[in-house]
Amino acid sequence: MTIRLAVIAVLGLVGCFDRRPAGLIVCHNANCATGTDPFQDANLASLDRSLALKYRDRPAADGMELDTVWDAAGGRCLFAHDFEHQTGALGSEAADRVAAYLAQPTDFVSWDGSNYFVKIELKDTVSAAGARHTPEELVKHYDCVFDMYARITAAAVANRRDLVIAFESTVTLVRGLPSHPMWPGKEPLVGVHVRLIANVESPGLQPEDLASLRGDSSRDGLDILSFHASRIPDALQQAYLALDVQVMIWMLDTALETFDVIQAFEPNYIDTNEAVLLRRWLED
Amino acid sequence: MAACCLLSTADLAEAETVGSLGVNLRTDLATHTVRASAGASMGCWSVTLVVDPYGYYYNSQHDTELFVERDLWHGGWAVLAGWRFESAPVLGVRYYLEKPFIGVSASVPKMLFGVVRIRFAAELAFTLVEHAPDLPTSWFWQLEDPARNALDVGFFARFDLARTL
Repeated sequence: MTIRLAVIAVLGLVGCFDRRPAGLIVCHNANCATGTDPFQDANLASLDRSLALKYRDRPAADGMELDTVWDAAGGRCLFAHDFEHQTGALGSEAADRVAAYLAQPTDFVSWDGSNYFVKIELKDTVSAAGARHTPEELVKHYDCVFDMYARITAAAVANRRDLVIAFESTVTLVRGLPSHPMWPGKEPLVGVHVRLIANVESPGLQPEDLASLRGDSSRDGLDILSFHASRIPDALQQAYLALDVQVMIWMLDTALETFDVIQAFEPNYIDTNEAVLLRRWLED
Repeated sequence: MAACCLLSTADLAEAETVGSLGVNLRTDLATHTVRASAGASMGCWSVTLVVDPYGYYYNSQHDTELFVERDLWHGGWAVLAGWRFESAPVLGVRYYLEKPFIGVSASVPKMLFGVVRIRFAAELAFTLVEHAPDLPTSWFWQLEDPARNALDVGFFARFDLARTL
């Protein structure tokens, strides 16, 4: 009996220290159903598989990442992670798939229910050679992602979904979004929230970003910082923890370091190719 | 000599001074994995400065520290106490972290006629304050879950080349 109580006590202590955070799981590169495979990132088949992914009869994920590339040569806005693996699918087609998903007659479009998160990423190259946007190309790329936003938002509103839709790119590209004529603002409709994400290593971040990063959505500033879940040195980790900013952790293959970073950061968003694995880890 | 280190520093005047240059290695994430160190010891006391060439070069996290070590007895055990001054690039500025730390270390037998010296150490570091010119200052009591976020246990190894000065 004494040994049994001791074992229970030890397991209880382990449980106390092994606290699982409560972040939203997002399908990285619209490809979270079959594990990390960059060759299957950002195509319509992977998107369909990811949208259909279930765990315990509920959607395993809470949101979807849709990558867009402006194809300067073709004058098209591609749903793609890069030029090497692009399939010719358009950003609007991906947005329509997500819109159709939100229009399904179900109470659960995410693990938690009727809430959904969409991240639309703007890649900053416009050719396989790595050319950057001209001002005209950038406006067209912005047109494209705002069109995607409109398609997804219309479905969310029509079906009474609570939607957070976030745009991610370099700091420079993200800062340009609020100047576009189609910029809807941070809280455009009841139940629709627009957010801006920048990678923490992207040049251009400044202390003035802190207010919006802490959740002040009255500003058109950055709302969320994205980190790669690698071996982040302690000081950097502690600094962002102390500043209490909203964080998205993204990863390729999930490893022990990934779980460690998630426990340390307690991120608001977990962007993963392995939605079921992360869901089981968070819930079980 | 080791016995004297328990209670007194009376032999300092007679003790030889040894200088050392080396590397400070660790596998945890408290600092960069490899840093450079320079130190001096006299009798049972030694002082070591550890700098972070990798961090300075890449302008990433900087981990600079100074610590004092005192031998306890034969066998190479010592206690240490120091101060780590860290900074990390955050929101376009450098965010500074002040971390006092204490620990114990143990040496392995000197090699190559005492030229190569190796020590292993364990430390408990404490984040006292985090600050930056244009960002809020956070003292340890203001951190969320201070017991978890302000205290760090770490292990490191030192490989030094030493010679009498």
